[in-house]
Amino acid sequence: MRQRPISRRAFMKYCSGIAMTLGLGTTMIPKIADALTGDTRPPVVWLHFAECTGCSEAFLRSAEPGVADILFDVLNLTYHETLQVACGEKAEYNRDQTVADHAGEFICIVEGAIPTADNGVYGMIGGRTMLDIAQSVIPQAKHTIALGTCAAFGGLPAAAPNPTGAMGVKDAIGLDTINITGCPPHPMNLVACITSYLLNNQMPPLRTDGRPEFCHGEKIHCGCTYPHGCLRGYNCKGPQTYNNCHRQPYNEESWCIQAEHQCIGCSEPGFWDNNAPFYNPMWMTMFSTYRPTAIPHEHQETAACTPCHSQEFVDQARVQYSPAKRFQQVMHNRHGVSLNTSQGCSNCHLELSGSTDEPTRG
Amino acid sequence: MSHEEYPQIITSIPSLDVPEGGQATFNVKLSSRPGAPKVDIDVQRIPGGNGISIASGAALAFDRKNYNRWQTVTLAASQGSSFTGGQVGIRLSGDGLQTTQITAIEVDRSQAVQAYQITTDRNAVTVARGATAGFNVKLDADPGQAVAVTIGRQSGDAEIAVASGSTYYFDSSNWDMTQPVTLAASADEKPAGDRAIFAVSAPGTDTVFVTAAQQEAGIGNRIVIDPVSRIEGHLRVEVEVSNGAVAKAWSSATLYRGIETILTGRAPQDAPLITQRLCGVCTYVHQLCSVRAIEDATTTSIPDNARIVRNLTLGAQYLHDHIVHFFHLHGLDWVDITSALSADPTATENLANTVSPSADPIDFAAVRSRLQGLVDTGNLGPFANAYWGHTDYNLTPEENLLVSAHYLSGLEVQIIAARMMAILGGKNPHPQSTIVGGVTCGGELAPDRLATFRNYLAQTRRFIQTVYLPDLKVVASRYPAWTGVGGFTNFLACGEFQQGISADDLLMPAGIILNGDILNVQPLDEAAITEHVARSWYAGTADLHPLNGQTVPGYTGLDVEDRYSWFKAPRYDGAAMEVGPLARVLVGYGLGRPDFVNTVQDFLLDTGLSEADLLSTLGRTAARALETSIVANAMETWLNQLESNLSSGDKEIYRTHVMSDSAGRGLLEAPRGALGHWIDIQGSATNRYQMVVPTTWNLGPRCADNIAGPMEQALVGVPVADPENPMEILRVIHSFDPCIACGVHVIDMDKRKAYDIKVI
Repeated sequence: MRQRPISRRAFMKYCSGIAMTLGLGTTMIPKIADALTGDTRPPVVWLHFAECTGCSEAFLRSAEPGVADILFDVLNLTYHETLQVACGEKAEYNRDQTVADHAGEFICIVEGAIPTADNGVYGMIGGRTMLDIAQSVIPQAKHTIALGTCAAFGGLPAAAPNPTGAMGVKDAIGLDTINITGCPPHPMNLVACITSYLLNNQMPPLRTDGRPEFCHGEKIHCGCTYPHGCLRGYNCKGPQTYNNCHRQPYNEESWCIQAEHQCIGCSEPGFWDNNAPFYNPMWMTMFSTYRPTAIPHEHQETAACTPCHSQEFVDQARVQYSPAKRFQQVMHNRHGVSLNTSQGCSNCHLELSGSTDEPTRG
Repeated sequence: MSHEEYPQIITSIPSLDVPEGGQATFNVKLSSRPGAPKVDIDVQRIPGGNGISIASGAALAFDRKNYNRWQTVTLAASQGSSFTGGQVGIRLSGDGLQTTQITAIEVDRSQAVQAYQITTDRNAVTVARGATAGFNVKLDADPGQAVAVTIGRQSGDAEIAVASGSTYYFDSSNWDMTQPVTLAASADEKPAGDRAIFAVSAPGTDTVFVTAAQQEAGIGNRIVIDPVSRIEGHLRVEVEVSNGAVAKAWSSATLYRGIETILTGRAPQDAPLITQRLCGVCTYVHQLCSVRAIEDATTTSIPDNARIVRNLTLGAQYLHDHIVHFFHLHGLDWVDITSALSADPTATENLANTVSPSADPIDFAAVRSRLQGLVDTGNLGPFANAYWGHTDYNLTPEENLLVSAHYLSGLEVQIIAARMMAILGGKNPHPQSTIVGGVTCGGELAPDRLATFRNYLAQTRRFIQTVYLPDLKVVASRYPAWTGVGGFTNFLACGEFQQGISADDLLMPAGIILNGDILNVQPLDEAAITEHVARSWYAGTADLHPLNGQTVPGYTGLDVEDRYSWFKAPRYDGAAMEVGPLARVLVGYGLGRPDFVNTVQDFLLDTGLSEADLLSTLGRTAARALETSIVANAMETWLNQLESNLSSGDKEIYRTHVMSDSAGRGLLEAPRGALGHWIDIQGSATNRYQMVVPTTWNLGPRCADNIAGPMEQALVGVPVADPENPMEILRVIHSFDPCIACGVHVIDMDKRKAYDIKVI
């Protein structure tokens, strides 16, 4: 085992974090530690296409262990346009050499969508189109991780009217990818994925859309802790969004719903078009007076349903399951939502949960 | 004038067989340099009996440069001519030249049996501007006699010529020995054709043609860096080097996403979330600027708490961005990590104590062994294949180890700095709590959360004071020459960090500095801002104010003499302006703001530099560190204000707004410089959206008046010791902290298909 510069305690904490993210038992922790301390850092080529570098920035916030440990001890990151020191031809040499020397072995991480319109002229690196680079590098990789919603599903560049013909990696070049989505994705999901590879020599189980089960297997709403009350009335997309934000805060600090902004569903295919507009009229009026507390319950029922169901469906259900109490019972049974218990009330009525020392809106 | 001064016309062959229905070529040049600047040679067929005509090369032009280079004349014989076997004279004449002639003989196809053929190893070569390229020539069989093979330009770009090997004699002894031909492209940057065709001809055999394509540039007089790494986004920089220094520079943005088009027709309130995704590095600035534009359009006022929360979030962005820039992106232009391997850890510790006595102690031996461990694996990862060992790395091994150690501790501190933003915004990158009318994060303004924020701020400030600023001074002391290199003289700042109720009470004032006149700061006139597209991949040449901006893209290939970037070129009253930390610091200093005057004068005193030295690469890098400390200090004040507001019962964080048909603009000082968003709202939807971003100011291309952008001008005069390793150029580029994703974002769907796509 190589001498590790970080403390053993910090390292084991990191390993247990990985085990938790992957949903593995504590017995796996020593094996994870072994996998990470072998001297077989896999070569990684990180390609940047039509992107904002937010996924790389998120990766740089990886804290346990710090990103320095990942760069020095976990990965052999030979090409990364933001981090690598070499420029121009020397940088390209590093990339091409990795592809040549480690064909079928290296991991390719792709950040950003691939512009395909007009033969790909909207994205050029070193005089080559991004499409051309993708076609020459990705087929040589052992695994390709499409990091972020742009690389996985096209993301923002592919939002209507998709001016540059941007596509996710799989759509652009027709090869299967491991899709870790989010805008940005949580860095731990990438690290856990790679750790899982180091551990088993294979990537974790995937859903049919290529997203790992461990981080994209559950809807946010199902496990949401409602840090400051449920934001369903505010067009929150938590009920339709498969991600694990609620299980592991970003930057070890917070996440959108904790900052009291509704989830916009940033890990879902086509979310910029399917989920927009992000601020509904109810949001505007309700928010201006107070937070969820101010939503009358009859509105709240509607608000809770409409993210997933049509208004027509809700109106029918209301008639079918009248009186209102029965309607609430159905919601409780089907969705685990309790609107008529004190626990449910505290989602909105902070005074019932004992927390009143919070600023108000309006 | 003596007889010798009249050049003679030289032909490669005295007589030429032209097969019936076919072609044959011969080459022509002059024997000596002509007296006249240009000499025309007429190639005429002497009237006579057979079917031979001149297919090309009837008019040849020679000048004092190319007089000794072969040019090709092609003759053709018509099919079915009754004059087979006939001869005709081809006369070559020109003013001041002795007329000469050759004999062309029309031969029957069956007679024209080729005993040998010319072979070349390539039929196409690319030659960089100002550089050379070559191919090899030989025969495929013994010619049985001595034959002259001549190589001359048949057609195409006159800037490419045969530099050496224009004539070879082959005979029975050497027919299969390859001989080199060297082609050269002139360094002249006048627009020229892209390619030339060279004829390799010899009597009695088919002519072989070699196509030479002129490449954009290469190592030689031109240096191209593509991709430029350690920046956000996709950037290409081309420079022309003359006498060991940059003579000209061109900066090209090479990615285009079309964000402004995507915004059109969407709900205005969604624009902040979308524009935020322009850039994950300066992740907060577009969101806030967009919110400001909409608040301006809807005349929405925001509560004081929202103002402070936004200031703190943007402040966290500054601290994070600048630390990462210095230690992880720009720092390795000054610091040679490989040199740190030979440092003495004890000496480094002593150095650290001298440079910054109050800094946290670091185990330098452990850092060195960690670096050594990485080297020992043989895989340097992101550190591989850089310009290590370059002669212009000036730090001592101990200094290199010191700053390398801070590369590692900086990676930890940037995580802390980003957490400040996450507390208020939910996450970093792409915080989500700033909305039109205020902020959403009321529940996170609880005392314990703000205490956590204060703790992170204290840790970050400590790093800035005890590591960042001292390291900057170490670098400044070792690179005195860089106070004279890479500077610019025009600066623009739009002001930032509203300090109270009044919109004019700013921590960083707005202003304009022209021609390096630091102490004469002019007020900013927004109406003087225009964007040029004459040298960008957009139709037209007009310069327009952003509110009226036209953005009809048309990619025409990368041609630095014409259009060469997806960036537009913003100008202020026609002048190129630098924006960013140096602009802000100089404007604040020039206006006599105490925060700026004290910080700048302390730095000048400590380093022995003068005010004028700040207009440089080093000044730009220094200003970034100085303003980091100014912002960090101010954040402490804002945090106190926020806590005081909340504890006194003012908990308002949001005000409602009504969407109306109107236009608005938001201005913001992003870490990289002045940013503007312009929105036009019609029917509660975004009708038009335009952005002028810092990196287009700094890295934009030339404008209609052919004035180069700030970075293009700053690069001129930068020394380049080794064109293969142009580290000096990287220093200047990185000092601007380019962020390319922000700069390139417009497209017009309807016009998209009309592009002329040139293959480069």
